[in-house]
Amino acid sequence: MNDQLIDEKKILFEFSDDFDIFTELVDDYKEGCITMIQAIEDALKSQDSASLRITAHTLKGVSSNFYAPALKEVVFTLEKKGEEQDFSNTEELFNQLKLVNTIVVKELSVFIERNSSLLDTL
Amino acid sequence: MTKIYVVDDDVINSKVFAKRLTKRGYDVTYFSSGPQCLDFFSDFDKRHDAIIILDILMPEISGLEVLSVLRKNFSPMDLPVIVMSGNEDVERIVECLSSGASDFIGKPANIDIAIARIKTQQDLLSFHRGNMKKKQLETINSMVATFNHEINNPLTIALGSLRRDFSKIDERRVGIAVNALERIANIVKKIERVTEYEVEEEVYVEDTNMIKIDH
Repeated sequence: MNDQLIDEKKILFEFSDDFDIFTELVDDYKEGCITMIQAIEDALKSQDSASLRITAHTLKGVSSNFYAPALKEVVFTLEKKGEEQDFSNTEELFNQLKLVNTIVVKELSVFIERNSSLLDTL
Repeated sequence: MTKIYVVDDDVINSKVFAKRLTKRGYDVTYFSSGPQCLDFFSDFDKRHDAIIILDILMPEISGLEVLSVLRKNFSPMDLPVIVMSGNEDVERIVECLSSGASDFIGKPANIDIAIARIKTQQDLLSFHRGNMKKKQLETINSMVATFNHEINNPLTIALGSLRRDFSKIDERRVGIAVNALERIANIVKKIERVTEYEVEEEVYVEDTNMIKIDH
């Protein structure tokens, strides 16, 4: 449990009464994160700091619903890079983002599966 | 019923937030950009109750720019705006509140905190509306007293003149004129009684303030 990237307790505290909505959120995120991460990649390739800042900020906002500090940290770092117009080490950061996001998405799927009984109470 | 307008370019988060509010009985409309919001509110009737939940960092124009435009036409009492941001630095919060925001919510928004802040703004809006109504009544009262005075003077003169010259003029016509003027005089007395009323606000039902006209 401690090696998990998502904080299940915090998610349940926030969303146990809205687990149906949370499930939809995860589904939307699975689709949407592909587009957002692509947009970040495009911003890095074109060295567009404004676009990097906005897209990273948006991804940070959505993913913060999952209480995943590792994901939030890497996205926030990219957002800061955009704000400071600093593209150093961004390739490494981007690879880290992709890896962490993949793990978070997997953990969310398992989490929803394990807590699907909450949907029956709604 | 207070309508909630969520303004945020983050479609996923906004959808979640709007759904959670709707589930709890709120009427929610969503705008995905600042220009969409400003376009809608460009001819918005201030008499309608509304609260805006406004994201700060958006492309095109920022939430603070949207707020600045809104505040040119709507005071915080007319249109509460609660700003939302993932950046909860003290400087950011102070900047938002100094720019005319009614309150601040951190993102991701804890739904219970969001609702508590929305309720506070609803209460303030309700109090402001009640206050405005009371002031309107006081103004009407004052105007009625002035009109009463304006009618009364020439009325008194006309009645007095007619009664004095009664014997030289057509009795029937004078009689009609006097009756008409006496009816006006009675109306003036009624207006006078209205201006003596006091406007009081009393609690009739728990959580509902109703304005009672008393004398």
